Amino acid sequence: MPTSPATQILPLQSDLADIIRSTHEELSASLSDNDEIHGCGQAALSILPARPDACIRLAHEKLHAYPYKDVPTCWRRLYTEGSLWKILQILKKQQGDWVTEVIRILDMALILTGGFGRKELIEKIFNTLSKIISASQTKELSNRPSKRQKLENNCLEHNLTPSPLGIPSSFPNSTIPPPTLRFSILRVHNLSLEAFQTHLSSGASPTPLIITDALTHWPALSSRKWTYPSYLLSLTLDGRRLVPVEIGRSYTDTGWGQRIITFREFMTTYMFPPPPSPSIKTPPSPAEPPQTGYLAQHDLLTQIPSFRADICIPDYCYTDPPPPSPSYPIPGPPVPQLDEPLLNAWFGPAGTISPLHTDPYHNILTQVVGTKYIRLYAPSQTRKLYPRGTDENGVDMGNTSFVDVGQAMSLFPAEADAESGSSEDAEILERRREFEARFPLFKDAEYVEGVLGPGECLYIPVGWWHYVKSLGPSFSVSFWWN
Amino acid sequence: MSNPTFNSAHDEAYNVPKEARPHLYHSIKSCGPGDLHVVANATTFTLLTPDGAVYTYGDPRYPRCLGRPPNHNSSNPSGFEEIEYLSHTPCRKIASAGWMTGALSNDGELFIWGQSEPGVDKAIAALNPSSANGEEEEDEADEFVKVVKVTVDGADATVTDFGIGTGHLVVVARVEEDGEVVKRAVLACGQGESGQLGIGGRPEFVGNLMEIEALRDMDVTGVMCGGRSSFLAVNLMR
Repeated sequence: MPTSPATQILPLQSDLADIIRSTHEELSASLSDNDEIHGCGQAALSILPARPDACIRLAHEKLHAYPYKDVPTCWRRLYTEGSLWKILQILKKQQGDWVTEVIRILDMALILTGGFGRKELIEKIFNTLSKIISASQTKELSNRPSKRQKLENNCLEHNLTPSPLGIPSSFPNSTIPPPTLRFSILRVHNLSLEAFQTHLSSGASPTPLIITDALTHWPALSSRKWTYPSYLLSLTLDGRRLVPVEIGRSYTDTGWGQRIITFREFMTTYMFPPPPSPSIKTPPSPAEPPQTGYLAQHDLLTQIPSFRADICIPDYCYTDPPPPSPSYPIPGPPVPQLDEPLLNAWFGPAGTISPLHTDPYHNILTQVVGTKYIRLYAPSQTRKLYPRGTDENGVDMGNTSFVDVGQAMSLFPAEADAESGSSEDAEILERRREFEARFPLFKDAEYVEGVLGPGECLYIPVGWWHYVKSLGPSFSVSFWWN
Repeated sequence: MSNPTFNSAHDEAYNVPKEARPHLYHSIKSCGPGDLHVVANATTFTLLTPDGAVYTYGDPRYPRCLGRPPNHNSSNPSGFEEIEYLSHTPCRKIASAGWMTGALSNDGELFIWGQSEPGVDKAIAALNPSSANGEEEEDEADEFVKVVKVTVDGADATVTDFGIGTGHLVVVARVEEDGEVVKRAVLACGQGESGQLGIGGRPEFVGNLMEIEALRDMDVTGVMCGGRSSFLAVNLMR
């Protein structure tokens, strides 16, 4: 029988007692009059200490009953408050694998509600749990020196031996060959802030740029490299933290969905999937091919601040970019002026795809691990890119193109221009005809493209359409600003 | 497909192109007080007309809760659209709560549609396409509306009443032979953490209908569910 992780944990009793006491004190203090949680009504608030589960369930229902941006703050507060009362019960009992359970409940609150109103308390609890986990690991290492030593516990010890859990010590290099580039994005070496501002202000509208060697000071690229899975696991409480993962090839496909899973499950299931077993005993499964999992467009660095400590906001985000061109309005509702950049993490295996779309902000896309192919179209090309409308569920998809750029690239490879094309088989010719009949203008859309490698960043001007595909395991961070 | 009108003389409206049919709104005018039954859950309103048609209206992000594909091009000013799958199956009762709705046909067949409560990763077997009885009934199966197969001691049963809570379903059923009622049973499934299933204990989740044995052969005259509770009326005089 496997040992429950909780029994491996040597509780740091005084730290634990402290966190229980301060959590209890903060939760029991009377809620301030201007706390929006009062909007939930007295019935819900009065049962918080005794029946936090019921409050969490009620709030969870409300979070889904409204469009994400319209959820009243009171329900986000109730979800957070219920989650904290719940973990207080668990911390007092300490039964079973209570550490993992506390992490799960708090991360659900952070992911669903941002931990509204209790961010600092939640961070304090995570810090205590982190101490407890590392103390237990130290104990385990000294007790079992050789046989089951977990490599991920020690981020200095990165050799090539796979860990017992099947997670290699380093991400493999790119596995998908990059396409032949025809219209390369301009590349510049460590551009100064002034030169970047000049670029933004020059001409009618700024163009994309790949900037090399501008991130060399990032710990994530040098001293605390994100290329080591063991280090990433150590940042996520030994892989216990939860992350939202997009499952499926592209968000435009049917069957695409999102799951909230532990970071470790994401690593073992999607980053390092077990190789298909060649065993003859198991008949070939009729099930669907393994799905792509992509930790995409998630504010991981706010949820887990230890990631945030390894990177810096590029100075380029502190420039004054021009507003979107009035002749090519940005699809979707207008966005507010940001006080600080919006950060998003993009972490996934080879072959993740962001279909051709636009964002309502200027973007500095930084590449930390692996390489990505990126193709960009100016806002002036929009007519040739066939934007979607509102989909059948009422979601406005006007910022996403109907064109599958990956399909277009495989039907019309850049190399094919040089060849006569006479030897193509009939099926491909037929598929090309179908594609051109559906998107006749697409072949005339002008674009630029490039391969973004570790330590490089790409400036994507607001409103530019972009298609992104990872060529190997990849970790990027995007910075939106305006 | 049948046409929504609220008086009995609606035969002539059959086979009329959809755009030409009278709107639900105009038809409602001919209804008397109490003729319409409307229930609501987290995302959807459901309406039962006196002639047994079922309409829904609600958040298009949750088509499974609507029991039909969302229809954005509809010119229907009321927003209510008929569940076409049930258009040839007149119903006599609807119930709705949480993320689930059900309709009971005049013939005692129970239909449900919807999904599990957010945060609950288990589903009632009848709603779960992968576990649908394991039989080859794909031809008749609808993407949204699911038939609840009810058996008592292995015999097919007729449903006489049902109730729906936030995440649970209670069914009153009986088995008839030659017009005689030979068995009566109450069954429940879904979330049970508050004891709302009545099968004893507080099981976190029960996927398949389970009989509430204490109620075997009792004359249950009605059932109503709260969010996480269930109420039955029983005739003890029989």
